[in-house]
Amino acid sequence: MAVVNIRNVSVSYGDQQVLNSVSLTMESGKFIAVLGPSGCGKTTLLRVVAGFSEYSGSVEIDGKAYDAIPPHKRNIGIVFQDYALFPHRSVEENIAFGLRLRRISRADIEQKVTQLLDLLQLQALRSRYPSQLSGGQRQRVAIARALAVDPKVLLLDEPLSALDKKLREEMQVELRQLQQRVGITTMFVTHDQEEALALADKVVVMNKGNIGQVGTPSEVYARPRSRFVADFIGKSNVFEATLDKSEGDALVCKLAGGETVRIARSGEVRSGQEIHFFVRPEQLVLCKPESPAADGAKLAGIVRHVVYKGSNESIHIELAGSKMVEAQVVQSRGWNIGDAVVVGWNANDALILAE
Amino acid sequence: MGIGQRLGWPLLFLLPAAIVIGFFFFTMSIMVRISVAPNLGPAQIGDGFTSDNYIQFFGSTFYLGYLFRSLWLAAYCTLITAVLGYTLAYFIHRSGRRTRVLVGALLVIQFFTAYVIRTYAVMLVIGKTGILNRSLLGAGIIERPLALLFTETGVAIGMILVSLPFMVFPIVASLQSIPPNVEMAAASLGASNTRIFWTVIVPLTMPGIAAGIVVVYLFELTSYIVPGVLGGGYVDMIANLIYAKAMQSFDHPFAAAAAMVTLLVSGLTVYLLQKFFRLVTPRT
Ligand SMILES: Nc1ncnc2c1ncn2[C@@H]1O[C@H](COP(=O)(O)OP(=O)(O)O)[C@@H](O)[C@H]1O
Ligand SMILES: [Mg+2]
Repeated sequence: MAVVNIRNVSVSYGDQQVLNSVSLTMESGKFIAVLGPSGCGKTTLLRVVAGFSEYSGSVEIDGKAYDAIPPHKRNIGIVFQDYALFPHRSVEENIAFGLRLRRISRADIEQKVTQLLDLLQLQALRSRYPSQLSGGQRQRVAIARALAVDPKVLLLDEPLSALDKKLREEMQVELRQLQQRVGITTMFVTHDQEEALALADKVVVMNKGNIGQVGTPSEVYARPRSRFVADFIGKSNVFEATLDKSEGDALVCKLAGGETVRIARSGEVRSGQEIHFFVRPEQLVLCKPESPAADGAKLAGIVRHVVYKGSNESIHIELAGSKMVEAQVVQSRGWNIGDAVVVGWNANDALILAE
Repeated sequence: MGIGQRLGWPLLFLLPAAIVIGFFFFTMSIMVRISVAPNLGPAQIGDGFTSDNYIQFFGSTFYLGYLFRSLWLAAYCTLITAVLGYTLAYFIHRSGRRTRVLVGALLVIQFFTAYVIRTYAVMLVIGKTGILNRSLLGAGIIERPLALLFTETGVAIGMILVSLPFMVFPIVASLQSIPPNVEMAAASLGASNTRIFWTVIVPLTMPGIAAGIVVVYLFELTSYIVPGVLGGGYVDMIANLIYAKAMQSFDHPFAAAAAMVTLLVSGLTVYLLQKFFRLVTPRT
């Protein structure tokens, strides 16, 4: 098990800055998800750690600088997005590839390979070739191959993105259990926020080569620091407002249209300050115009769109000034398009965005 | 009638191919026939059957020498072409887009320039006052010009240069088909660049190497213009012998027999090469 310290790593291609002074610590044995939209530099970050990319800054593993160590001497396992199995080698030979490069006896190689075949339930496929495997099976082989050499760190580049939804969810559980059993420090790259939240001990949200926020899944979900994080992790309704005064545990502020709303109090704020705050769709409370509303707000709107999602419903509502918000309701009261509705929230569910 | 109508059109499209193949077998059968006909003097082909032409060919070290020289020359030239071709293909594959397009274009132009012109171009390079000798002399590497023209070395250089594109194109194609992350995966497992080259890249490009070697070997074995122009009569290969017999001595039966032998030897070589490459090409 190993601790990885990434310090001020920058990468540019030509005049395009792909990573912008990224710093990150991976604690020993932890599962870290790097989450960000396509093109934000996730793969580049993996390549830096593995030594495949030129960079400035430093990568340290267990206190030792790795910057001058070539990729083949780093002992870092990678599972690529396309798995990159050796097409001319059987499952068994793929897994044994790294072992054969080391001074290990035949018997020990055999034993290690069998152990990994068992761990990843690949026994029946041991003499198949990659072209004879399904996507999920290839992925298992890629993981087994990477784990075979007992790497210090395991890097996974969107390994589940090629699988269909059901298989993906099964593999998420398996991957997490596997990582815990092996206890290896793991960096998992994904653009799927649900996946990141479901799997990781720690989520790193990236945007355009910068790290937006680092925290546990519940931290980044419940307390996003920026509008980008709030939007990228789950959905959110962001409002602009001007602060008026504080009142007990709440802050009173005015929306652009003049409506007075109450939001959760946080940190140092001044009266007259322009702020952004957000409310998650599942925390918006919808009522009929005449019934009592939630304590935070009472905004009149009209239902414009209803999306049925099985266990819940998404209601899209137009507020004053054509602002659209989305509410997620579990048990539908039978909202129809065109209904007049009052949108509210509990003051402590409306949170200020720091940036 | 229904089936006839349904199959009629596609069959019509096959007609040109059928004509070409039919014509090939027709002329081949004439050649087979002539190769066992008695030679009754210049340009006179007898009616009977005889094995004299073949006996004459196999019974003479002079004639067999042409065959063996050609086999040997083609063999080592193919090997050198393969090494050079692989190096060039690897360079093309590795270099940036601009270099790749440029080198590729040069090869394609080379490829589509008339064979004879290319051969004369090689002559200008390796001649006594050619570019090669002038630069070597200029650099002080040699004191007297190298005699390359009208020697086996000259012919070999010519054959290699002229057949290089046949080797490079299929190898580049197979290099391009290697999944891009495979090399990185090998490195992450501890393989050095040399190791990756021999355990991953070479095996995965074996189909390209095989295609290149078979085509180039046949091409070089049956070379006619290159030894004709660059050998100047001193380094004749089997095709030159056949041509001289057919068009200068007008001994058509003997020429036909020599051609048949060459054809069979080529066929056998291709068969053996295919077998060999099937053995060394990893399954996928
Ligand atoms: N080899 C390269 N040359 C030039 N630009 C590159 C190269 N690799 C990646 N990029 C650019 O760097 C940015 C980040 O790429 P990447 O790390 O692959 O993003 P992600 O994995 O998050 O989708 C992209 O804009 C991409 O176009
Ligand atoms: Mg990527």
